[in-house]
Amino acid sequence: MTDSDNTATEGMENGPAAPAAETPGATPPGTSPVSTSEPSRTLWGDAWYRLRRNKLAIIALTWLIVITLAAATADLWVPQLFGNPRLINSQTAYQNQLQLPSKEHPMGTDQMGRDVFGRVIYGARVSLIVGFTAVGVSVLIGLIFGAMSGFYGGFTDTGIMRLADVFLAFPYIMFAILLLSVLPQNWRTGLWPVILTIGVLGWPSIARVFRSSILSVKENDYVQAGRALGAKDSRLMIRHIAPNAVAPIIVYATMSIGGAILTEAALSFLGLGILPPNISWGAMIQDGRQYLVVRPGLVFWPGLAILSTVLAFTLLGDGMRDALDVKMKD
Amino acid sequence: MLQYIVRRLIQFIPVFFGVTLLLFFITTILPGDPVRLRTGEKAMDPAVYQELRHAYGFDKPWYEQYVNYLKNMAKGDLGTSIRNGRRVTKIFQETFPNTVKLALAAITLEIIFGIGAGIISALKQYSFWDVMVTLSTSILVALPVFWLGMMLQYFFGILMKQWTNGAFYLPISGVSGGGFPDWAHLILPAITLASVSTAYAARIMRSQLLEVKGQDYVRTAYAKGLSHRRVLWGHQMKNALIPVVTYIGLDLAAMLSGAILTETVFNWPGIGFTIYRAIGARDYPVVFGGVTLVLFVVLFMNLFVDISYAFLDPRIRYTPAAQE
Amino acid sequence: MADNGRLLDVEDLKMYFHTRDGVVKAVDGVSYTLDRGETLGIVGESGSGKSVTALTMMGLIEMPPGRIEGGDAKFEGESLFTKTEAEMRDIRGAKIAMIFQDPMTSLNPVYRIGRQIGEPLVLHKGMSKKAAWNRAVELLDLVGIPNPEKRVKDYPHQFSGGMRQRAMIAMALSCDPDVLIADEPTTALDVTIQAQIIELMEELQQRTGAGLIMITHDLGVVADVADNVLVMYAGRAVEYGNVDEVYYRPLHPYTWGLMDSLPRHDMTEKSELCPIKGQPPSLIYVPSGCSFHPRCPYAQPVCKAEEPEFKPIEGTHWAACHFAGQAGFERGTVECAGVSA
Repeated sequence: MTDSDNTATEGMENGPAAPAAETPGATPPGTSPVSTSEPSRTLWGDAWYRLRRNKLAIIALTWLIVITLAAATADLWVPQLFGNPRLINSQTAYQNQLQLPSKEHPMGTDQMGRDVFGRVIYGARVSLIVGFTAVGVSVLIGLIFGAMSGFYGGFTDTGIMRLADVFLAFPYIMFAILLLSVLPQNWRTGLWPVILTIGVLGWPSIARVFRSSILSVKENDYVQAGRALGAKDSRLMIRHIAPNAVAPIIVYATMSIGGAILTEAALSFLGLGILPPNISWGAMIQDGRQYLVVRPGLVFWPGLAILSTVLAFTLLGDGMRDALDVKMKD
Repeated sequence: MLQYIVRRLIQFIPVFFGVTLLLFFITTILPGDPVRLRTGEKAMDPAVYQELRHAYGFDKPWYEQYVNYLKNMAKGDLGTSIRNGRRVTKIFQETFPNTVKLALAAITLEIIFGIGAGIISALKQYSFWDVMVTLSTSILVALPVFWLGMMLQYFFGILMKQWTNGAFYLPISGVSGGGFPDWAHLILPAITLASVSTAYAARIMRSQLLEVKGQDYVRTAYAKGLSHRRVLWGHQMKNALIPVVTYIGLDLAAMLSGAILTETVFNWPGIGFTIYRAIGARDYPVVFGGVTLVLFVVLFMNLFVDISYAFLDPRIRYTPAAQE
Repeated sequence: MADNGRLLDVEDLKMYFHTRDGVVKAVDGVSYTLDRGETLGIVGESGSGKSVTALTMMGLIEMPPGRIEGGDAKFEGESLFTKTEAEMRDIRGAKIAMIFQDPMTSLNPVYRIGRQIGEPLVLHKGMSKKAAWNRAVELLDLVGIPNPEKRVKDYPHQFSGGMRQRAMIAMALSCDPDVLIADEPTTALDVTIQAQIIELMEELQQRTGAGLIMITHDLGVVADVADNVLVMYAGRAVEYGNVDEVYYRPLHPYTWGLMDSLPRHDMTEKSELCPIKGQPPSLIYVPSGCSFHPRCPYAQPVCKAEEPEFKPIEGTHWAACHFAGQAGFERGTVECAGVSA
């Protein structure tokens, strides 16, 4: 594309729709001042500022903080106020069963007489732990593979990407079902089986994101420029890649936590995920199924908890992506 | 175009082998006791155990086992159910059609409502409708599907029955019975299954339309004197639809792959439900067989969608010829 | 319908965009006329509003955020802004046709060329698809595409850049428009192809007798084909006249700057290029008075205080400068008076 060089300056041609305001160049005396912009900050400060302005994201963040605090401190207040959430086979408990919501039991009680609200709080603990840790595992594996892929290129790259394709070919749930059902009975306790399963599933996407960050920096002009100035390759790349890669990975990870929580809930619902005595929202829904006709609350409240938490992570992730957009665009 | 198709096929092969290898690994190598997985937990005479082990070929080196594994799959042999001794393949042969029925119903809903909502949203950007669509799609993708199913069951099956004294309500489980025509049983499960996908489809349709709107060829169309309607249906839709159609194709694959959660909630006797019950009964051959089947469906449907993309997009169909 | 008005008569047209960030004065006083068989070249830097003016006339600007703030544009004596949308649709493509800058993105990638060329024919002339298709073949031949019967079935990506632009021209000409507006028709093309396209347009214009508006930042192209020239700056018309007047006896300092910035054939490697110093202004914060005054080497206090009127200085030669045409107000030497890069 050539244009005859007969004009002094070239800028962007205006399109038919409303153009963005053009930045005034040298502001000659007598013209209106440049529009006020925010005081210049660091990139992260800038992102935080933009995030703050996103009301939905802030509401989401607040909600998550509230839930996290409630769940983290659960042992301190739930059993005292609402009774033992894991109680089974107690005479007094049976007298309490399947109650409608009331002052003592804001969400009613389940078929074992346990307070539903208390169980929801404990379920939050499980979901949040599983969500964060599983995504953490994915990120760890993903970073390693992504780095190898991006840095070494060639066969390593192709090999890892094909492996990623293989993992991605599996529908999430099916793969998880496969892994968990193969697990011997006595290994299925606790949170780790589910955490590892979900974590192992999620690495391909992270690896890809990280890899493309690396590749785009490799090609980047300022890296070439740095090379021309004699800077060592690896140092150059680490310094340039890290800030670039961090942003999309953080955004992706945040939104993945929501997905991880949904997967955990689904697995627990199917009987493969979190098993008693641990409390999981998905398992609560499965338990409550048989009483749907008389006490829909047993199903409703845990589900609402899942919905609100996952939604919060999604909105937060969206907000973070918008806030970091400038950084991610390059 | 041929080049594109061949390339896709070439990429497919390692993935295919990788997937089967992984499946094989997880079901045969990884578990401590592959024999027990296939025969149940009952106590067994050690001699019988060894015989079985040999019969299954578990004493052979892994690569031989893998080849046998592939051979068996090609033959359509996925093992035998522990619970009732039937061949796994046969079990799924019976239940697969039900899943297909459900998936087709769900896809139809998704096409009508997803694309429709997306179009209206894009046309009336920022209007009340658009906001509603954006809001509801955000919520839908955060919903646990099985929970939605149960809430629908409760509302349309139980509450409605109460409120209208039994005059109007929908069936909430199974494929037939309860005095309802068979298709009525499809309604709630199909809505449940379609819900999340419809949300995504609407979003994609909307964003595609908006992106196309800014394209130069749309401006050209207006400059030729076309009306808004003509520009939308004539020029914008065809371009915007290509990614949407691709998405829906992939979605069909996902739905055919068992929709285990929805089927479980509604006791819909498809692949997913079968797998679910097998999990509970520790009938692992059925579980493995089901997952394998699902995987194959997804793999091949994805390949199909990939290739059909070549036919949809003229830029790929006719590779550019550079002439002056 | 038409009275004895000129083909196109634009009078002090103003169109602003009302955006969140401010009012963008994209078109801020543009006047010109066009007759049949005449070629008008509109020149200016990027961002001078030359394309937006044409789009405004065609009604292709979204209103809001755009709004006509004053002036008029008459086609065959009738104002284009009083017409209904349906009437405008009848005009677009049929009476006034536009050729856009980038033929790759301006053609729909999923439809065949024949169909896109035939579309206005089906729409405006009520032709059948088949008849339109055949006419498309004829048009492709007219614009010099070899093997038109075969190429008409191709998709845009199968054409080269130059061929695509020819196809766009064919599309614009299909309904025999009275006015043809070419918006930077050669910018996206190779230099060698540029010449061919310009020649083609000239030839076609002579054949059809349409009025041609050539929008470009390339002074060389304009010198070649135009009968009249309009020079625009920051959304305003600053000079207008026939091509000889404007090129050999320019009146406005901006035009002088443009001419001076052209590389000349008698330059050596040692000669410096002479750009106009400074940047084009933001269209939101347009300089007061004469919008060119911050960059004008001859600026006086009155230039900052009062906006000069765009008026005839010598017969048909118009300019918007307080000092245009005054005795002694002449172009300085080519030795780049006070220029910094």
